[in-house]
Amino acid sequence: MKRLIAILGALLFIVAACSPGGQQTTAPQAKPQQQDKPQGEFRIALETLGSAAFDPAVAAWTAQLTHQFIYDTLIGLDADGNYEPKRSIAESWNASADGKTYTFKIRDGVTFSNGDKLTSEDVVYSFSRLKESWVTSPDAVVIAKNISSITAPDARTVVMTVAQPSLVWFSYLSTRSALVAAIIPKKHVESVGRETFNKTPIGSGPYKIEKNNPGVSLTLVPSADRHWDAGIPRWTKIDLSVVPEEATRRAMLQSGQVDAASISRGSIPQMTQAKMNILTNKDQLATFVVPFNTWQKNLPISDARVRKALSLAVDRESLCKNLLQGACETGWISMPYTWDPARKNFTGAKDWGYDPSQAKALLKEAGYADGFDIQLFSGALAGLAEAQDLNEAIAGMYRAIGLRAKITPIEYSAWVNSTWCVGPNRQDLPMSTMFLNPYGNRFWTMTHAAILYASDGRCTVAHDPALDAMIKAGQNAPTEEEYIKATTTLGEKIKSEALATMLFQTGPVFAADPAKLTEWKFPRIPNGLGLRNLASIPAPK
Amino acid sequence: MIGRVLAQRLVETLGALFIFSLIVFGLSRASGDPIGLLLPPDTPADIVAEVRHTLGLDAPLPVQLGIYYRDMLTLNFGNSLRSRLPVRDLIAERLPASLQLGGFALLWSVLLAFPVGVVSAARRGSRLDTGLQVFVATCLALPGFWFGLLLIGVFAVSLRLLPAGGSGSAANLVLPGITMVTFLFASLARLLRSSLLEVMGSQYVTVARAKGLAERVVLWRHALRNALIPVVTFGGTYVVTFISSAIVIETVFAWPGIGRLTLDALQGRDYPVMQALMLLTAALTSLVNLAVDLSYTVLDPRIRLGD
Repeated sequence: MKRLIAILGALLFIVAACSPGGQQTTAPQAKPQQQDKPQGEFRIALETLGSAAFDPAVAAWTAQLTHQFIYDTLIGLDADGNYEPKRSIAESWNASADGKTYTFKIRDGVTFSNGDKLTSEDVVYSFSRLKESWVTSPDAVVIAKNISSITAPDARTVVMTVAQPSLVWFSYLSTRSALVAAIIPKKHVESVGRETFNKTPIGSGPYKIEKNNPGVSLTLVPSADRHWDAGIPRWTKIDLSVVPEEATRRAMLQSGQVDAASISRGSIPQMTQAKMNILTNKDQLATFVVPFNTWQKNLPISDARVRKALSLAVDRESLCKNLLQGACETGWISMPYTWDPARKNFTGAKDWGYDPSQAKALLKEAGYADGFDIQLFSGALAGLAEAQDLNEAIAGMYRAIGLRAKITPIEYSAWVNSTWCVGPNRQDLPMSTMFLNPYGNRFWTMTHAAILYASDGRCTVAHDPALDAMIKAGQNAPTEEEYIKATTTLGEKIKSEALATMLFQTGPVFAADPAKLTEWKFPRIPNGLGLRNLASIPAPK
Repeated sequence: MIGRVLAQRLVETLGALFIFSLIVFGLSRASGDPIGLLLPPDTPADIVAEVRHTLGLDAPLPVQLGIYYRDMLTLNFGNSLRSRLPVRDLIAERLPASLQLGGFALLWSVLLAFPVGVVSAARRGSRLDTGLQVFVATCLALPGFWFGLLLIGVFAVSLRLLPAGGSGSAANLVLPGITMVTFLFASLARLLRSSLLEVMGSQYVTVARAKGLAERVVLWRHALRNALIPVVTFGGTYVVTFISSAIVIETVFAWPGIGRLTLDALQGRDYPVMQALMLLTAALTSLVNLAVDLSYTVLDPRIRLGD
């Protein structure tokens, strides 16, 4: 027995040594340097690689994570998310006076990873196939519906005619909305078939697939010594592994099995103590509480004063600091104030405020001094491990102003399908229902705003002709100035009526071995992690 | 005789699989609509309808059922809703890892459980038996999730002897294997001990002793064989479980087996993958049960199939 106790004691000692305080990485902070050829391997453990589909025409919206390594898009973006011809497959473009016909000049000298030259014929093929009946990518369907015709008059020219001109059309042709506009090699796809291409694709991006175990791991190697956009690929090999359990990802990083790992925000202190670099983008994931059925007159939530009280009851700074370890940014609104996401010029978004006393006063003024029942749906959400804790905290804040907040656990898909996005005539909810909802910031276009705020939107929270008119004005805005004006007006309206309780923006968090990764430039675009930027960031010494 | 019994069992198995397939189909549809996970919430309604149509999710249930049976009978299993890759390929890629881990666990569990179970039964009530029983009970009580993380903490992070997760080398197999063996070995050892103790009280064992046979011979040659029947039944059932649904262990150690594929399919409402995996598990269970039944005739000649 004494021996058993001794063994258990030794085991506990070893476990204690494994704790954050016991394990200190002493690797020096690396300094960026130039490199003239790919060097070293980079291994990263991720919670998910998104959908395992590599054919842009069938990839689900979560698939774009790894596509950025493999494909180039017709329109490229600069670091701030602006359309940049120098980073586009189309090196220049112009539009007709009515905005319906675009002529793209295709970049010369771009090759696919199998050595085939990228031509205008590949561009035409990449978009034409999106009209086929088997296409399941939602953005592909949107693109296909709007393209009336697409032709290649010569090897370097593509003429595209659209049914509906729109200022945001280029979002779909770039990585801003999705990665559906990836250019794929016609000859290769036709020779290997769709199924093979979906698993082992060929693109013109800086890396190509060496090995793909769908949903498990992906190994990439440089597609050429130098890429026309990314330059010299930084790594000789990139290994991406799916490791679902976060504790295992942290252990793999601390034991040197990987060089970087995605972590939850709650693990930031532990990883910082272990001398890991923390890399995060606070600008990717929007979180807000959605009030339902604001148009139903018999519900407390239909009163703007009540909605404002709900907003004032939430201490965003506290949530951000205490539950997300500061890996978030308060003060935003899920509406675009410009069609350029880099220029978020709506200063009013900073003024959501936290004032429980005023919240109570507003409830009293609205006739709800004794509070009312309010239901918060809560569930595990991809990309926001802290979702349930946040819901608990928000419910507590609502209770502090006298509401009887009740949390109902629900699975995200079930909530979207059966509760939220059930069309514009949702009438069957007995109570005001809410959910903390995070997803990529796709509400940068009026198209998306229409779904959340227009009377006929699939996931609408409001039935208001004034809002409908504002959205319409934005959708039909002929110039960027008009668009900004329309979106600003709409944003003021959404904020003044508290049609959503905006919380904060956050994004994925990574811990990295400082000897391998010091910098990861996240793009200001809605989708993806900017994995492609790993291809060209400076290497540490 | 045995041919007729096997044919009869096969018919029964097919009947059971048919009923099971209907239950799987019904439950998968009842589990929720996959569209909410496939498309962003801000997808316009007309696009949602188009994608739903393309994926065949708007077809009447009898039509979907027909497609399901067509895919199953041709062993095609259809394409994953999420990745659009053939389900057959996805399973084929994961099955070897599951077989590897399940085989490792079974082999080591048997190798460890036999000496522990037999010695414990032979020395019933001794300090050694008590010690082994405490050890076995501890192994049974260890939650796989916690124990797995503990092993990672010690052997991967602290000692840096073994990889924390992943697959591809023999070293990767050690920690998930130990975690899996811990439970299976302890269950087998405990069952073997109680089964042996029951058998050791039988008349034929008393007769064997009365004949003057050595205790070792009585135990290993006469008692053990009869004590194996419940152990084989249990082991067979658990092997299927470990191959098909070792979800916790595969998740903790990022082991790319069928368990993780099942979990991903369930979370993503990937009907074709869910259905194929459930049926595969059912078919495997039926086959293993048949093999276990056949093994009874070897272990105990008094048992005849069809009796």
